[in-house]
Amino acid sequence: MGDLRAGIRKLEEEVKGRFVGNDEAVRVLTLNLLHERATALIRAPRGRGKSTLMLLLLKGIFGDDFVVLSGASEVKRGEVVARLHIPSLEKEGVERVIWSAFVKAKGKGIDEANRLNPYTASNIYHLLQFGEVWAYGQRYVLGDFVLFANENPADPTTFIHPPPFYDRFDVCVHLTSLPLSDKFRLQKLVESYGSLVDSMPQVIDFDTLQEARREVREVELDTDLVATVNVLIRDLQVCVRGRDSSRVKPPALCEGCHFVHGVCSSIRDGPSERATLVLYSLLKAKAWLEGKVTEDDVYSLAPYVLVHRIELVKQDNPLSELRKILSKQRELNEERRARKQWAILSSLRKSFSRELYKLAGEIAVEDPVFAEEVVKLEQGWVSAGLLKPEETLSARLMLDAGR
Amino acid sequence: MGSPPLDPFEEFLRRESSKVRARRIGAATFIEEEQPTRHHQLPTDFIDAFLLRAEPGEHVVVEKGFIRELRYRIEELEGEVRRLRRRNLALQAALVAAVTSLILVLIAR
Repeated sequence: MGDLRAGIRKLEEEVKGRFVGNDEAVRVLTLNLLHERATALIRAPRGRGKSTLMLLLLKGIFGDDFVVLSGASEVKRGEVVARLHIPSLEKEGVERVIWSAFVKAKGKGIDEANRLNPYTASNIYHLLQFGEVWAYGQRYVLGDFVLFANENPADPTTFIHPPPFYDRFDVCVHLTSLPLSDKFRLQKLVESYGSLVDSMPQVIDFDTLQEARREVREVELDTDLVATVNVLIRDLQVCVRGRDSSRVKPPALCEGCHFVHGVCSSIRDGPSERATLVLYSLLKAKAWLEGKVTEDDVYSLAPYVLVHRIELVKQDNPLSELRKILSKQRELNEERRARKQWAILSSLRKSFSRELYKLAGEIAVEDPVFAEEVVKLEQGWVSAGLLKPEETLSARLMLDAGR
Repeated sequence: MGSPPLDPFEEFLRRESSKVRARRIGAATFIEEEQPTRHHQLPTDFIDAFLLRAEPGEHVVVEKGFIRELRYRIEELEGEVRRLRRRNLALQAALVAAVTSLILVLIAR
């Protein structure tokens, strides 16, 4: 058991020993390896080491036994997923599918994913999510794997992939340029190693990684931590005016809304439920690897899970804007604790009390996530005759106004 | 037979409830609220905190002129407090004298 952890730590150290700077990105990518069918996206402008980092990690786990797909618009389905065996088709009239090396490999890389044409990219959606691919009516189950992709969003030959494509990647790390002192370190490393990638040893094998993944899956997160994740993601998703199904998006949608100053008004498109699941996985991995995980970890890991699967109103610097939103959300959580609102909700779920309902109503006008839970209970109270429809929060806050 | 496992959301609410100090007086429940912990890093303008009742940060910025005015007001208020204390003392003495006279009159009867 200790050996497993030592192996993962050694992998991280070997990568960090060759990849100067961006230690936090390496840490996140390492943690993300510790769950099944791990997928990670590395984003950076040219020359920041996207491909190097991807190859270092793949080599550290698979040695030379991995397949990298070079993103280019002419890459076809046959190379990515499968092609037909032509002689079988011509001679016997049988559709024999030859699955691509990329599909069959346990270690996969996509270099410059932004250059893949949308049709090719869509072929791997299913692979990324379910670990299986379909071609010519036949299915190939991949089972467990590791996939790294990288992209330079500023590349002029970029295709703009739709949000569901990026949502399939568990985490996204942005690489920064090196400060002065790190440039000296890089120069020294290149001198001593020659090729950084070639010098990378295979530290663990895929079976070891799978064993570690099995142990991580068994880790149980504390209820408080799970609640912090759930509340955070819900805060980023919630919109009393039905943002998800509306053609009008914030800030226009927020005009006249009671919650115009809330966290929700900074977000055009909220995260999917995958964000919640990935954040759980990262926290479990951290608890397994380091022996503890805290609320601070939720907020330090969240940007890597959210930045590629959320669209913000202010898009100039998404990572920095996202951190501001997370900080605001954390303050909101402190206020929730101080107001004891979850205890009030708990009591209201057990039985209706007009005093507590009044208090809940006052809190709900400050907190849309709390409001929607109270509104859910109101339906039952109205049916039971405990509350008149016009007294309800949904009527008072006009929660359906924008829907 | 053990009790069925609690729904995770119920478990979360139960935990939060156990942290709350609540008192029941008759049919009403009183929940003691706390002041939320603030993480303000930037200095707050004193005027906002004083006049607009804004939540002050750890550091407060005040103009020199405002401090002078504040000192003048505090001195005025202290003077007013001293004057009221003197009057209070005089009234207390008058009250004691009146009560004593009343008692003496009652005894004399």
